[in-house]
Amino acid sequence: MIVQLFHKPKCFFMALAVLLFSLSCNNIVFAHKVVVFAYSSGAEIVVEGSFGGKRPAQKSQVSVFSDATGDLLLEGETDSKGLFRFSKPEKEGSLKVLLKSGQGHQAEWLLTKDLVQPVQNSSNTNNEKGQSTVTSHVQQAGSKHLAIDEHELSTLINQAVAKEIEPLKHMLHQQLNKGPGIIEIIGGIGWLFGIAGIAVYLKNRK
Amino acid sequence: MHISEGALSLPILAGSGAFVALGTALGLKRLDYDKIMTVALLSSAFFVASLIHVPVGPVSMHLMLNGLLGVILGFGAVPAIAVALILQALLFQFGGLTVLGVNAFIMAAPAVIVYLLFGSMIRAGGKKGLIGGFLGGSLAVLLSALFMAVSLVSSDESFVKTAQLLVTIHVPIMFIEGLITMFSVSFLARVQPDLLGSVSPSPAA
Repeated sequence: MIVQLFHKPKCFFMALAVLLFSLSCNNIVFAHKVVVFAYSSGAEIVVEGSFGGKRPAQKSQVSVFSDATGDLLLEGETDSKGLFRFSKPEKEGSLKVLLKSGQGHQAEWLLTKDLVQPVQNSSNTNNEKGQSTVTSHVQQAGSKHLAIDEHELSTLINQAVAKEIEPLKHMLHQQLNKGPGIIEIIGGIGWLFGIAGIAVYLKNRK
Repeated sequence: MHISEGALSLPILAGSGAFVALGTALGLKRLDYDKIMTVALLSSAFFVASLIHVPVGPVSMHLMLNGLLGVILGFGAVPAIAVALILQALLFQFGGLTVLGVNAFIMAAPAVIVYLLFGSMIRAGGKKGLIGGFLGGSLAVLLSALFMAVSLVSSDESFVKTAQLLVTIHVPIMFIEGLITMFSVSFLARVQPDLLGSVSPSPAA
């Protein structure tokens, strides 16, 4: 049977050309699946949707559910960069983020409790307090020695860390979004011919 | 053109799954095993075609080639498409295994329909064959878009709106696929004419 394939070299080369062409377009966009990724950034949660590393899922419907109860907490739409931001809910618990980009494309992302929680505590409760302590420190600044209380320090650290980490999270999202590589493509073609080979073998054994 | 997991209701999944199982059985039964490498070759072409994107204004669409598979393989296109979609789901995470039936239906049913409509025209060859090839390739895309809109009715999107959108964005692809199918068919008619009549239900094997 394989010999028969080589009797059709033109066919074979045509397929090969199609394959090579597709591999040469490595930066093409994959609209087959939409990917959603959510992460906490300070007091907010950022939802990022895209169809591929570089193409954002614009104006896609985002729904946020409580993972424990399944209740719909809030809804929104992504902006032109495929981003949707919302402030962290007051109740603790894991969140399920569902993004629908239309035509049957949808994706989910689970934000676990520990990812939602710690930053929220300090930033939410300390915003007002932080303001007042800063002013009181400024008033005492005559002594040159600036004392910072523990709450304020943790808020500042959380904010700084969140700011530093956000690009990393963004990169992680792009990594998740990579389309199929050459290994998967060639592997898939190998599978197809392998299956055909087995079918012929089974048929001929009879 | 791949519906994601969790987007559709159970009856649609079950119904389309049953069609694909039946079509695959029929396709395998009618398959001339001497031509199995042709099936594998076209299945590979379909498998890779989804990765070739054609930018159409703001959106980019990919080739489908289901019309080409249909006019050449007839019912054999159903197993060819089903296997390629299984591999796309497993290797690329396109679609998913639970929605495999729907995705296969959207692609394979038009393939069989264009085979039944234009198969005889294409086997006739000449100008008739060219026209049949073009119509087969483009109609398969149009039917796929319509079937997709139908299968999405059960989700929250309205049919008319979805159908309009899907058909509109697929018009350029219809044209391109029509040309591809037309040239492939005329090419095969010259170099491998037996391929075109090969997997047909006519008592050849």
